[in-house]
Parts: sequence; structure tokens; C-alpha cells
Amino acid sequence: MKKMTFKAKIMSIGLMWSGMLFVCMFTIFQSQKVLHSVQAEQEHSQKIVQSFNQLLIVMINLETGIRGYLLSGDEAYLEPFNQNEAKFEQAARITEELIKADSKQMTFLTQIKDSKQAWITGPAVEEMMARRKLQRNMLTMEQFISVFKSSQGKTLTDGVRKSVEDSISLELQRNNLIEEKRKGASKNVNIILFLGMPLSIILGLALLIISVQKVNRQIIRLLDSLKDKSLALENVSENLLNLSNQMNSSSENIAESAQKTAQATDHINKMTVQNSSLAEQSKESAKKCMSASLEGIGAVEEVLNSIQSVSNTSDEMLQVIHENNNKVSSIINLIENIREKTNVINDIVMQTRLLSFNASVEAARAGELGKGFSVVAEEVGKLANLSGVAAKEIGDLLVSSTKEVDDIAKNTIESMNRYSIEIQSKLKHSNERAHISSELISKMKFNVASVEGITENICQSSNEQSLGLKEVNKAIQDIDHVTSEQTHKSQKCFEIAEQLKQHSSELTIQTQLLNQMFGSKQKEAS
Amino acid sequence: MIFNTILVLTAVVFAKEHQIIQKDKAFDQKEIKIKVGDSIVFKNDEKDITHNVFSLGPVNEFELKSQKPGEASKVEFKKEGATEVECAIHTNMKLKVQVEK
Repeated sequence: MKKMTFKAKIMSIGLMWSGMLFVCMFTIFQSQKVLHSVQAEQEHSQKIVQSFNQLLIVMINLETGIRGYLLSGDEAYLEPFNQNEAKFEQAARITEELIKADSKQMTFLTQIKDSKQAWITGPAVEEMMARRKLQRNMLTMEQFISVFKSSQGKTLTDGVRKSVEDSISLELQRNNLIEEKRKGASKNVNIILFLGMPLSIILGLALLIISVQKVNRQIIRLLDSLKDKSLALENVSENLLNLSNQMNSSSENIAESAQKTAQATDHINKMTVQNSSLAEQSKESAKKCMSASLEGIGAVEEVLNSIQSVSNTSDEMLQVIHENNNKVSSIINLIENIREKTNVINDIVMQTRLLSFNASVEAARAGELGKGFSVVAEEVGKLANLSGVAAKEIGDLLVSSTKEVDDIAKNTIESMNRYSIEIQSKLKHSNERAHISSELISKMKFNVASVEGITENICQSSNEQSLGLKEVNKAIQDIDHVTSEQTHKSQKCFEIAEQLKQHSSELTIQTQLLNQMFGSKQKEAS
Repeated sequence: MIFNTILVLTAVVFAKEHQIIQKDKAFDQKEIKIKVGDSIVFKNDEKDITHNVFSLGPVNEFELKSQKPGEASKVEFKKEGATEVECAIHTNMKLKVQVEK
């Protein structure tokens, strides 16, 4: 209970009281409902009794009419019968409507209807017929009395009366039970009205008084505390005022800083745009380098092809020199053959000399006759000598020619071999250099591609940076806006702090008044 | 014999059926003329009342016993002559039936 709030305490007391009153009212309401229900049941039961009584009255009237006629023979005595004949079925229908949910009463009603029907279609008709016949002298009085005495009419009408009595008796028993229920409900209402209600009111009032006292004490304690708090609140308001001032100046500083930051951001943005432009230029240069490196690769390939071609040409030249050497060798052979042939000529010259000598010898032997012959022989000898000289010169020339040709051939081969080795060496060196150049250009191409990619990234990053800077700029503008708002709010805060101070002063006065109202004299004195 | 047979056959062939309604404790006609061999259907058109139609003669006696509402019974009148039809319970209900050849 102590931990509950004032509102909860008051609400719980109110609820308890209301609950008690509700229970009382609910009990009264329920009892009233029972009373109404009992009253309705009683009315229904009375209607049933009345309807069964009505059936009995109708039945008595029917019986009276028939008996009157039978006794007197006068149709005037049939009047009760004629007046009530149709009423029986009507009364039976009304009764059936009232008791249709009651099987016991329905049994009685069925018995009544069956007995009446059996009477009206059996004994009543027989007796009426007998009376008619008596009137027309078709029967004697004795015969009529005999028919009357033997008739089952009375038994059936007694059965009707018995069933009506049983049904009414049953209904009266029920009526008694209903009456007991009614009395019980009335008793409950009386108890609640004369005992429950006053008790709940007294209990409620007692609770109210206790609670009010408790709440009053707690309010006084709260007021004391409230007074202290209001004084503290005044101090807090003071502090809040100072704080608002400081916040205001801070906001102004922030606004100034934001302004500077915005300017710096603009500068950075311009730089970024410039970077982006430079990156674009670098990209273009890289593209050009790439193109140049591609051209370099093409040129190196062409050089390689040229080297290959030179190599091939050198090979072909060597081949040609080799073939020339072979031809020189053939010439040497030919010279050798010529020299051999010269030797043959020398032999022939020798032979011719011998022959001319022999001819001279013979011409000498022939004497005068052989003088002419000896002249011829001498001439032949001279020619042979000349031929021998010529042959010797040719031979000498051939020897020197062979030597020279051989020397030339040897020199040529040696020179060509040396030149060929040099050319091959230089070609190999050029080839290696060309390959190295090609590799270097490929590397350069790869590097240029990397540079291009990096430049692309730089370009993209610059664009993103530019966008980011725009966002930063916007954020700074927002900060500026927020700072303005903050300044406005801090001014509002200042105003509120002033109001708070004023309210706290008023609160202190109000607390003093409440203290006086709730009797907190201790604090008032202090 | 042959004449009688012919007469009966003729009566059967030319016999008519009449209807008398019982309503409000009365016959709908006071008197009816019919031919020998004709028949009358007595119908109870009451709502709650039972009738017991009979005739004590002197000719064509009959008794229909109890007739509940909605029921109908046929009676053939075979003999010539007048007869009074009544209800056993309701003494005011009377119908004169004249049976002719």
C-alpha cells in the first residue's frame, strides 16, 4: 500500500467501494431477475390452471346440456351443450399452447381430449339416439332407462374430471415451489438492502477516511520535498541560463567553423576537379604511350625480320662464295689440265725437235737432195723450240696463275669466313638486343596499361571524391542550418530557462501556500 | 324377375350422387329430392364439431355414426318415400329427403 501512487490509492479505494456497491447491486439485480422470472412462471402456471378449469367448465356444460335433454326431452335443455361444444376445442388449443413444453401436462390434456371425444362419439350419441327413439315410440321407457344405465358416459366424463384435477394439482405443486423460490429471492433482496448496503457504505466511508488521512500525510511530506526541489530548480534554472548563453556562443563558433570548412571544401573540390582533369590528361598520355609502344613492338618485329633477312642474305652470300670457290677450284683444275696439256705440248715439242734433228740427220745423209728437207727440218726445229719456249712460258704462267688463283680463293674463303662469323656474331647480338627491346617494350606496354588503369581509377576516385565533397558540402550546409536552428533553440532555451526560473519562484510561493493548506507547520516555521 | 333386374341395372347406370354439407350445426339444404338408387354424400365441414347423421325411417333408415370435421360418408337411398335425416347430437339439424322413382 505504501508503494502505491496517490492516484492508485484513491482509485483502489474508489474501486473497492464501487466493487462492494456493485456486488450489492448485482445481487439485487439478480434477485429482481429471479423475482421477475418467478412472477412470470407463476402467471404462466395460473394461466394453465385457468385453462384446465375452463376445459372442466366446458365439459360440465356439455354434460349438463346432454343430461338435461335426456331427462326432459326438451331441446331447450341442450342449450349449454350447443353453446360450449366449439369452445372445448378452442380451450384445448389454448391449453396445448401453454403446456406444449410440459410432457406431463400434455399427457393429462391428451387424456382429457380422448375421454371427451370418446364420450361425445360413443355414449352421448347412443343416449341421444335412444331418447329420439323414445320420443318416436320406437323404444319403451324401460328400454331407454336400460340404455342409459348401461352407458359408459359417466365413466368417461369422470375420467375427464379426474385428469383435470390431476393436472391442476400438479400445477399447484409447481406453484408452491415457485413461491418458495420467490420468497428466497425476496429474502436475498431484503438482506442486501438492510444489511449489505449499509455495511458497504460504512466500510467504504471508513476506508475513505483512512485513505484521505494517509494521502494527506503523504501530500504534506511531498510538499516539503517539493519546496526543497523548487529551490533547487531555481538554481538549476540559473545554471541553465548560463549554459544557454554558452551554448549560443558555441553555436556561433560552430557556424563560423562550418563556414570556413565549407570554403575549404570548395577549394578541395576545385583541386579534385583539377586532379580529375590531370588524370584525364595522364590517361590520354598513357593511351598515346600504349600506342607508341605498340608501334615500337611493330618496329622491333620489323628489325627482327630485317635481321633474319640479313642473316638469310649472308647465308646466301656464303653459299654464292662457296660456289665461286668451287668454280675457282674448277678453274685451278682447268689450269692444271692446261699445264698437263702444256707438258704434252712440251713432249710434242721435244719429239718435234728430235724429229727435226732426225730429219736434219737424214737430210744431211740425203745430201743435196735432202738440203731442202734439211731446211724444213731446221725450221721445224725452230718452231719446236719456239713452241717449247711458248709452252714453257705458258706453263710458267699457268703455275703463277694457279698460285694466284689459289691464293685469291684461299684469301676469299678466309675473308668470307671471317666476315661471315663477324656478321653472324653481330646478327646474333642484334637479335638478342631486338628481343630484349621487344621484351622491354612489352613490359612498357604492360606498365602503360597499369598506368592507364590506375589513371582511370584516379579519375573515377576523383569523381567520387568530388561527389563526396559535394555531399560534405551539403552536410556542412546542413550543419550550418542546424547550427542556426540550434542558435535559435538556444535562444528559446534561454527564454524557457527564464520562464522556468519564474515558474520555480511561483512554485515556491505555491508550495508555501499548500504547506499552509495541509498544515505543514514545521517547514513554514523554518 | 327380368324386369326387376333391368330396373336395378337401369338404376345403377343412371344413379346420381348428391352432396349435403354440414356447416354451423345445420345441413346446407332443408329438403332434397332424389331418385331411387341415388346416393347422398354427407360431408362435415365444421371446424371443431363432430356430427352423427342418422335416419329413423320410415324408409331408408341409416346411421353414419360419428363424423369428425372434414370427413364425408355416402348413403344410397334404395327405396321410394320420404325420410327425415337428423344429427344425433344437434337436434336442430334436419333434412327432408324425398326419394322418387
